[in-house]
Amino acid sequence: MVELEFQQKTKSLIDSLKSICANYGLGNDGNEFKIITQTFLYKFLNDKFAFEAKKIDPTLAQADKWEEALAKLSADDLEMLQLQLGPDTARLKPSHFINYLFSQQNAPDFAKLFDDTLMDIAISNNDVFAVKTDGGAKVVLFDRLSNYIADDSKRDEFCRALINKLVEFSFERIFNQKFDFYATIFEYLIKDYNSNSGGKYAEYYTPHAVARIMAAILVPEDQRGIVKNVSVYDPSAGSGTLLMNVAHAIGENRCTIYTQDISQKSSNLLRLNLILNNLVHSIPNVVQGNTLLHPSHKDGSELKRFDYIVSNPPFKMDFSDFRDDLDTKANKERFFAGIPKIKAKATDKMEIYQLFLQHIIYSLKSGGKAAVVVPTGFITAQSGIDKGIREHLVNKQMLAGVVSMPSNIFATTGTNVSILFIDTLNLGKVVLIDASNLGEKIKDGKNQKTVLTAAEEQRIIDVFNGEQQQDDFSVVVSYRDIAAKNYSLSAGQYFDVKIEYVDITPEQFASKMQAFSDNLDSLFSQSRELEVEIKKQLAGLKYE
Amino acid sequence: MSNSHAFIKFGEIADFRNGLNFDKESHGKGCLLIGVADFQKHFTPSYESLEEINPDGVSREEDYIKKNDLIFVRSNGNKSLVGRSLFIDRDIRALYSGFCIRARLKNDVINPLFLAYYTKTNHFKASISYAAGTNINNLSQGILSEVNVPHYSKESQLAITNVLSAIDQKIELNNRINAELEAMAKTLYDYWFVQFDFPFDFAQGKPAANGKPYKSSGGKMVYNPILKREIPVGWNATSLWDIAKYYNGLAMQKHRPTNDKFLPVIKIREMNDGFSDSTEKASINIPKEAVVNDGDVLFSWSATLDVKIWSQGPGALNQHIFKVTSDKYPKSFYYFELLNYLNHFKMMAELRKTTMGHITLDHLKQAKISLPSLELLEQAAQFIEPIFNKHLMLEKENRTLSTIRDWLLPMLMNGQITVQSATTD
Repeated sequence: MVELEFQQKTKSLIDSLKSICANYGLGNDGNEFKIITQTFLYKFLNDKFAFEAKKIDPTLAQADKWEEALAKLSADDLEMLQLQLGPDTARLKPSHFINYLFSQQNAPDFAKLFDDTLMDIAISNNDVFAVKTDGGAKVVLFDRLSNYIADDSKRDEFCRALINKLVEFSFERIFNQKFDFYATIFEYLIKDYNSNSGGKYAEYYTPHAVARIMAAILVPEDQRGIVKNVSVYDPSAGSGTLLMNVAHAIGENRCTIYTQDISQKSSNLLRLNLILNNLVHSIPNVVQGNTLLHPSHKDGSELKRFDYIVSNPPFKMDFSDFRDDLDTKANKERFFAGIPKIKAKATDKMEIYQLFLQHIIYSLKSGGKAAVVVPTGFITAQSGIDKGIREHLVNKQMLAGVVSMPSNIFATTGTNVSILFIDTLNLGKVVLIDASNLGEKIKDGKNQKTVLTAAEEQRIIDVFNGEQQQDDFSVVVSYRDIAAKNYSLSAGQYFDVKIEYVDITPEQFASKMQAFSDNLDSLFSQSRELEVEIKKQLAGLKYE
Repeated sequence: MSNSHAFIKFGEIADFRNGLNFDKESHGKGCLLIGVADFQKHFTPSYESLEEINPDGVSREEDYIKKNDLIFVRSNGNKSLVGRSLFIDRDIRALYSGFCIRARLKNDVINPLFLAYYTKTNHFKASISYAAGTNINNLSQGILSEVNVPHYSKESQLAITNVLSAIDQKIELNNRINAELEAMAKTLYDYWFVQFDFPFDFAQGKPAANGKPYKSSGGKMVYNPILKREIPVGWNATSLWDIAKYYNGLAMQKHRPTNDKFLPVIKIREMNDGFSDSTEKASINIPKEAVVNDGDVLFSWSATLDVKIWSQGPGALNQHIFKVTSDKYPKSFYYFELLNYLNHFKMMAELRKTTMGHITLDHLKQAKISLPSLELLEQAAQFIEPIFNKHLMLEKENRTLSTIRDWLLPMLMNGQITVQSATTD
């Protein structure tokens, strides 16, 4: 019940922040999203600090107003406290607290104070909380939010409205919550800003069912709590749904996350997601930039290799601007199967997923595993880069299997998708699942959408992890079988052909033929009568 | 030249009623619904394929159709559909959509079937335009009321409908005969070659017309590792690819006719519905392999997968369709083997689907089938090929009959042709 109550309170806080933005004319403004997420983050960091500080210093917990008690601490005591805080907690000074700002709200130039405070928090925590770009610049935690209000006479008022909402209730009790709680909150927070209306770099939201299946197969139950000190990478991270699921399956404190994504917005969402999910230690590994052109995670001069990689890369995109820049000697090994050519008539249809997939295969450690969403066409294409990649996976024996998903599992795209599982250590059997007939169809706005039930999701996971063979659903095959079928990874190609037929007895056969024969006798005789009738009718016609 | 005859306004002989609009709440089952999509070129609705709707709280008793009603398309984005009619020739509980209008006769001045035939004429379409002004988008009760219906004596009406309906009944009957023939041939084929109960003379050790059914009489079966099932001794495994030649059609837009001689182009739509006014034209100088004649086996391998024996006269084969032939094996063999594999192919195409499903030559090569002796195949063909031939003949007969009907219809309606009734004989 506590969980539901806090979920409700947190959602209504988000709603009221949104309505403040709307009242100040920022509804549907590109900047609204920054104000909402950053204000929420400020609140979160403030309360998290209180939560952690109280754990360390019980006198704070007992104090009537912890902020005042903290302000009274000597400089030494305060430094001592700061030192004891875990690395996940932002270091705040007494003048940073929401309560302090709340008490100063009638001061002249309050907006400036509000912005200065947030900027000061950002700068003093830059080492931990800043996201890098592939050019090396650092994207700090906060912007000067009041600047987004064009009319500067309204800025004080606006910041007052925000701070008044933030003092209303404390998050302190939510820090004991589990993964699902934060997933729900995160989704609620970004729901209005994560649409596919972004044009060229559409940020599709990976459905939870897909994310859960990927995590459950990459990190099966029996390995949970055993795997540790591993790296998890997503070269097109988006807001990080896939990473959060895998990190949670491994254990947040047992893995380090590495990401890169070209979208600035995605990188900001991802940072927020990491903070909410106890993965602050991975924020320095979030890079905003072009993964294909400037892969940023390196060990020395070599590209870094990872233990786990998950990704739902863009499928088709115009990269004609930098296609030829990729075609270098240095990239020959990374893009081993080739680089898609520029399509003269449809540059926006260039298969960029082929590059991401090759980049992922190249970036796997020996012993590593990956799960990648690919268009279903990839698993059967009989020529070109697609086939080259499949041959590589089969000949190097690094496949775990494929799950072909139902149509419209993503509400935003009609392309059928499959999940490709790579396992560099799998020398034995490969599991191919055709889940395309599962799911319930529902209407999602204008789009048809397919949703997997919990039981269907579990079936996919159990069949895959248990290497089970089920009629018209899954097959377990060897690398040699796959090579013999032209490297097709489509389960259907391996199903036994069934011609639906029920045996009949000689008597049944005889009586069936007799029935046909009787019917035909009657039809033929009617036919003859009609022939006579037609001729008679035609004979009676007279042209005038 | 036209025999002078009187007209009567449609509004004087019939009442009209618009159909019902259903919203989302009515999704479900309960009552058949005739919608614009059900008209096509049908004379009467194909009742089996009508969709259902939940009529609760929307429909009233007078909204339901009755035998002898006529339903018209009232409004559609495609203007050429507006004014098309369907004749309700039986008592059936059904509603019609808001995009339709119903006409129900209120007296017996005009014979319902006569009226139904009349609504199929260009004269009727011209009448609508005349009453409504040219280029109408929507039909209304007012427009229909103004349409002139030829007013013959009851005897003449009956005589005219007798001519037309005798032809239509024959077409309908031919279709039923064909359905029976097809089912009979398939029953025999499957009994012999899928169930392996072909007639076998065990004394002589060979297939024979008067023998016993092979498998159920204990004929010896051996496991075939390629097919992964048991087949009769002496049979082999082969593939669909190996028993026939597959000629892929051409992109006919590159072979447009250069003069007034042409071949109609067979696309997937023509495979299903035959030629129509909108069928494209191709040059007669295309390679002879791309010319399709009656009796050829066609196999569409993309989008809509289907296998058909063509019966609509010479045509030009478009791409995405194979013409299947064999110098060695009887048609019944490759036709039924393809047909039996069709559902599997459809599944394969669905799996490959990125946008449009299709199968490839590899699928044909991987489609393993059992191969009986040629002798046995020819024995089956002796039974099946006459059925195919009869089938073709009836299809041709239907083509001729409908040409005659469509030619006679307007002339009967405008009095250019009269029927000599029995009394004046």
